[in-house]
Amino acid sequence: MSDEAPPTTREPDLPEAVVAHRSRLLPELIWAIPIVAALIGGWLAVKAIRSRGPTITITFRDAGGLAAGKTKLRYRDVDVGEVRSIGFSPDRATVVITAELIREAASWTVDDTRFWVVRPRVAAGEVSGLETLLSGPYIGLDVGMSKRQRRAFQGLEAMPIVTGGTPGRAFVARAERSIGLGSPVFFRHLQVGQVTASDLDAGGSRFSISVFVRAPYDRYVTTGTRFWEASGFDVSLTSAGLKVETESLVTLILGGISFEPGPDGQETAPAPPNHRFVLFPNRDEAMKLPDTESVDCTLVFRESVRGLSLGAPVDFRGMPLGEVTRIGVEYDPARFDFTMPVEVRIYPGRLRARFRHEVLEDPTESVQTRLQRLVDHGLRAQLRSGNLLTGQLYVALDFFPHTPRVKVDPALQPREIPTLPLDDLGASLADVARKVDRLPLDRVIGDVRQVLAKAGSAFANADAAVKQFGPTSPRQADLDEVFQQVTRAARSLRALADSLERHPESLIRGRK
Amino acid sequence: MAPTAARTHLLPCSSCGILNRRAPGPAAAGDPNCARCGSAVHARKPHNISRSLALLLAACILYAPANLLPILETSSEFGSQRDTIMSGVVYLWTSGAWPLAVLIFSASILIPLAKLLALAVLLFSVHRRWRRACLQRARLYRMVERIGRWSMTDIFVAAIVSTLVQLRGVATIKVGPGAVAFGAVVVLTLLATRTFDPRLIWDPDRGDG
Repeated sequence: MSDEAPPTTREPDLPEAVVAHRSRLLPELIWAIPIVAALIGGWLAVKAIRSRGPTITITFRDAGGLAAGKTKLRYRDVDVGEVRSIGFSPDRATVVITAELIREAASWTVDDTRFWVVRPRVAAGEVSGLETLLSGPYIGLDVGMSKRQRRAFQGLEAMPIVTGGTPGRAFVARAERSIGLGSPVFFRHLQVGQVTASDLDAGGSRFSISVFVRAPYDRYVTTGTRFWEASGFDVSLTSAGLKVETESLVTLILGGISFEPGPDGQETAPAPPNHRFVLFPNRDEAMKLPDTESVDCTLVFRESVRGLSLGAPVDFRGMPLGEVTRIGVEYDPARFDFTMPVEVRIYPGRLRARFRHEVLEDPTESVQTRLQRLVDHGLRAQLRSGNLLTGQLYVALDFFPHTPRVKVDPALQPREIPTLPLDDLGASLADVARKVDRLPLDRVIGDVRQVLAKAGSAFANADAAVKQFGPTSPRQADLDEVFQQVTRAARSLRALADSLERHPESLIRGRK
Repeated sequence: MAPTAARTHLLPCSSCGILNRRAPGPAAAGDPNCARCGSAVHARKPHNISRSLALLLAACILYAPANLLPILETSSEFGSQRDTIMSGVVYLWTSGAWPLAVLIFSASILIPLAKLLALAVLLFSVHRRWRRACLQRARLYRMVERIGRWSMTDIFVAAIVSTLVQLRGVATIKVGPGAVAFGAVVVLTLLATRTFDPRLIWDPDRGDG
């Protein structure tokens, strides 16, 4: 257009454009804009690619509440990924979730990394996952320790109770009954851990209960530690009285496990992780010394064994040495006599543990000769009343040196320990009761009433006689005095009769 | 052949409307200014094809992150969510708000894309000095110019929502990086449209090749 000849303008008065030289930036600078855009775009792309972490698949039984592109994967409450798609396994038995993790999580997808769906949950005395009520569930994960990478995982159906990285140790308690997952574990009434698993053995007879104890309390678990069930509450009515024991309100409903150092304090080496313990049914059982040795004995009583129950203690001067295992009744047709054979199990080991240095023992001595020696010294069994209120009996073993000598029959099996009749206190009480029974209380009171009646008529006669005397004669004055004294006597007699009627026992005990 | 300002070597002033005569000869090497009002006059916008092309390229590049990156980041007590334009459209569509979904889809995805394509076609045709369909291309240009600014509604909505919804602790909405890219795309295409000189469409028509 520039090489054309100057036009012939029809309007010659048109002004001519003023030529000015403006400084302007290089026109090529406009290309900086797409270059910058390309740089930004490229940077964003690189960032997006670099921030992409591994893509993994997790298998769940169902995908309740999970949504592709929405459900997050969270580790320690931080978003670390997102569910990309939800599909089925080839056999449609499970749901396969494909999730993409952030780049940092690339090293987390190892063999023992666990995934679970966090939903609102009320269990083990606590409420968790409430925030998911409104936001919908998310997938929690717990990074494992293994080094082996993998991309396909099996999701847990329930949230693990102890997640990795919680300091502490896990132990195994063997029990005959299961304990609820997440049940608390107590150490001296302080909750220090939880039950993490409960697996039935292949045999189906015992459970292996995994117990996790948080640090720093895990160091109180030694090889000598005793674990017991702290479930519910324990009411026992024994000769020691009514006993109610419970660990905490939570265990009342949910059950739990307690542990404490063993009674002998001998083994104090810290227990290694996954050490196996026995789970005792209660604290008393747990605190019993392991009774390795037991001697069964029979005690033949002639009196009533009412109040004696199975498991009642066999006591040596207040020290429980064993328990009653069997109570029976036997009829001796020859003598036409009934006896009450009570079988007891005695654990001599307890004696030994407590008086280790005091009881000198000859290992060559047989049980038989030892027993005979003890009986010669006056060892006798006796039923004693442990609790007057409840009438519970226990078996007491003690030495009565002045009792007649008894020969222990070596042929009898189980061995027999001679017995003595009911103890002194009970016997004397019974004696007193018998005496009270024999008192002719009815007759005594009847006699007193008769005396009173007679006295009454005598006074009436006396009154009549007095009237015959004049009011001023000296006899009259004497009589007055006599009557007054008789009246006083009658009054006190009446009081005595009343008092006897109300408290007949005062005849024996005297007035208070 | 109808006379045009360029053909008669006249420079129309776009500010005051007067026609300037082009200074003859080498004196025209500088930039001509309007003799009356002093604003720059030119027969065609200078470097318009290359400028337009540069802006168009930048817009094309940013179109990708504008659609891939989240435009809104919603975070509330109940989790956070990052929405791209497309995910918003899909959400509206699946939740039954079809008219709205169509509106947003066309305003935010279709129109910018169409604009980029239209500008590319225009630039290409002018570069190759097409003679055909001049009228249609002129119409296309007018349409692009008219429709272009409406794509900004998305940005406005995002900006307003993000400033209004700031319930501290309960829910916050932030403008994502996608919104910036999207805004850049819209602005760049607007600029590219402005830079493009529609008179070029007609230039091959004068027959001097």
